[in-house]
Amino acid sequence: MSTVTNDDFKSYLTPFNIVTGLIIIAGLIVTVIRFTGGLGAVTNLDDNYPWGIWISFDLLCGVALAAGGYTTAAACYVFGFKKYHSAVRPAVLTAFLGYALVVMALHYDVGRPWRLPYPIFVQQGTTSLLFEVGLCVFLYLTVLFLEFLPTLFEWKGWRKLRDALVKMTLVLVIFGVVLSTLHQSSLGALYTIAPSKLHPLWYSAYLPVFFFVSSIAAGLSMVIFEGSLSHKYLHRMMDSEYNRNHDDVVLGFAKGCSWVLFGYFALKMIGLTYDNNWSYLASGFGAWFLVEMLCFVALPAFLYAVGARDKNFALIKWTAILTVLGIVVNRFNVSLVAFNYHLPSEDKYFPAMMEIIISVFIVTVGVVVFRFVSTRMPVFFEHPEYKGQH
Amino acid sequence: MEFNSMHEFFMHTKTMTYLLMGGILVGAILWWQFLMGEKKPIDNPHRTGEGHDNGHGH
Amino acid sequence: MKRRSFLGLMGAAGAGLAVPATARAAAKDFRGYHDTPGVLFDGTRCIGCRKCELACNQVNNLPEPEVPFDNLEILNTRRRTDSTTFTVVNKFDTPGGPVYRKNQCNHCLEPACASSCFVSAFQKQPDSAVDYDETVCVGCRYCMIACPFEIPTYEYHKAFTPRVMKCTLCGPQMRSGELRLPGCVQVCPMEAMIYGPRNELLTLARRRFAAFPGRYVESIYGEHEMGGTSWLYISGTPFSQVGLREDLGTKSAPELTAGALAAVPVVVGVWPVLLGGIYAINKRKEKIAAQEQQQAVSAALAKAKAEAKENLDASLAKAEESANRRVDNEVKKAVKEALAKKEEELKAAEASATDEEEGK
Ligand code: SF4
Ligand code: SF4
Repeated sequence: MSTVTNDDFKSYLTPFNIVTGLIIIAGLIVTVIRFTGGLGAVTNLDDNYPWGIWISFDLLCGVALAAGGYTTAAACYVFGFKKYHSAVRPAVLTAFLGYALVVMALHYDVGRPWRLPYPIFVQQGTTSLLFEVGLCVFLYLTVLFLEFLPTLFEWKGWRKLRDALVKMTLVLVIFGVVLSTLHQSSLGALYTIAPSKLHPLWYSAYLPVFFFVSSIAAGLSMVIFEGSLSHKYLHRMMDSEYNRNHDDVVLGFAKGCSWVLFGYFALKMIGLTYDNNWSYLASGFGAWFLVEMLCFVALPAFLYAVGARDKNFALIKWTAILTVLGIVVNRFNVSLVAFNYHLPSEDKYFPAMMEIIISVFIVTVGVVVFRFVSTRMPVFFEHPEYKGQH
Repeated sequence: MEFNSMHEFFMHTKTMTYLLMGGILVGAILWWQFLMGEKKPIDNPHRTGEGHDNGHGH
Repeated sequence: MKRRSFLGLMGAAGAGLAVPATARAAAKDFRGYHDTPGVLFDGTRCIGCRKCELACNQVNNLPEPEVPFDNLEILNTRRRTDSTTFTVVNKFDTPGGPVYRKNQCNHCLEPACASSCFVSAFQKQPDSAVDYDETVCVGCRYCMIACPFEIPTYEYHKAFTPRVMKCTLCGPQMRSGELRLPGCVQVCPMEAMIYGPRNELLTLARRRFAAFPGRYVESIYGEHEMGGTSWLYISGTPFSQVGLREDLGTKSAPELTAGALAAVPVVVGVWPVLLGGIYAINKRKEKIAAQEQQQAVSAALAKAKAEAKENLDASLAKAEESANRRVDNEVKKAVKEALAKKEEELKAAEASATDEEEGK
């Protein structure tokens, strides 16, 4: 008897589970410190840097990388790329989880998290772009939840509810695109209020446009990237329909992403010209700006194009990673590196260990939940009873 | 109405605009259904709503 | 009359000035706070004694600092406001010797903190103070990102009731009658600060420029910076040398975000129309494609049917023919057989007849 339990126990001790377990324990400990000792106990935030990596990574990058939900849904249902249909569910699930985690991270970051509903329900600061972001994230999370529910209902076998929701798909998708456009761009627009704090190479009145366009590239790349990950680790959950279309999706998204990155690059050049900031390129910040533009925007645009033309799936996969990295670099540049560029270097912020632990913890929670859901519910496969009914 | 500052002015206009936006989104859905729901129950792939199969509109 | 309470003793008559001239604020010309009270700081008078820091600390009941206020050594390090210090005096070494400048919230005419706060916790009051309402503050700290003067600070060490902290222009104390002037203004031994209607402070500053030629940099910091501030500075050295950024521009926070905010309703108006249209076009294309396919299919079917019918007819005809032929053959065969039989019978009859004849 005891041997059986031992074996059972041992089978859970996979490297994946051990690492996840350790991260989650560490995260829980820091959580306790954060909520009993205040922000000062776990972060390096100060009066010059009120926003640290919880905003840079968890909010700005989190939202941008969860853009796969609205891009894929729009491509499939609005623009009529029906062959992307099998990619919609994983993308929507990732987006839903992504946004849920963003909201979770915000509970750590704001001083009084229990007041997070205040801007919507108590007193509305409508002149604030953060109000815009908050309202849209709240509504979009609801939309994503409704888009995800059919998956849950199919799993549970609640047909009536599921059918009612599926009928609303188009409305939800268009709503999702509107809300995403708004808050993706508003995240960039947050910084338009502080031209004196953000380096001119990154500050632009076009910041909202930059953030929106780059979020499309981020979303598409994340779908490609996650697709290849899931393929490796969750292959057994995929039906032939998913597998048959997977290559199509990857090629189509690679092409689309290359095109979007081209547009993004062009827009950034327009921004430079519009504010006459070319002369800054000769400085240290200028060099870093060029690295961002050339290595993380122009290069992936080119590599995607080559990958799509040659049907080189390995190249596309690596380019997706490069693009995702590029978006992360961009968001960090805007919110940390080029922010407070006028301050002496000793006043600069660097994240504390415990801040990083919380960020890693939150990503880990996301991965675990994704695994839980996608190994049970009809995400990568069509539920046999509802075949072709979307 | 009097506004002491641009901030007060924007606070007012943005609040009104947000309310209007909510109205527009709801209105868009209703209008779409009205527009796409023809009276004759012919084969119509656009129809999204339920229960409007006949007597739609008035 | 002491100069620091310039023009008509604001404290006593606070109520008179507490009403901003809203009547003059025409629809798009927002000058409501241009003649409400402000403070003029004259950098040529400040001696860096830190008395204002002490007064601020006392009137706001802030905790005692680690370094006492009579320690002037600390002036050698550059300091900023923090959650227990609403104002600091910094020393700046300039070619003409040390210069001191006091720093605190400037109580902007178009406060970036108010514009950025998503619960509208900051309000510019009729007495010019930019007030903060801690009962709604979520603690997002976007106000700290937004303030161009790096003023708001946060109580990072508090777990349950962290607040944004900044100078209040002693608004609460003055409204309750506790103070007649802001604490720092009242205590300054050099009368480096003057409290009075902003319009008149601007006039006074210009009068000083005229009265002491060469003593001042002849511009008033805060007159236009970020849309103008209630707190104004004049100085003998360029402002950038005393820690006042001259690259802030004159655009106020609401103007800076106006473009992005204006785009929001446009997206809501345009996107559904555009996306709905694209959807409808695609559906229509799909429908037409489906119809065409159907037509093609039915045409093909009709053709196939016709061909099949022809085939059938042909084969039917053939079958009839062959059937006919078979009948003919049968008949012929039958006739033949019948004839043959008859012949045999005849033969047989003949043969028996001859036998009978032979047997007799
Ligand atoms: S100086 Fe900063 S904190 Fe003070 S009113 Fe202006 S924006 Fe607000
Ligand atoms: S920290 Fe408080 S006062 Fe500042 S913007 Fe956020 S909610 Fe408003």
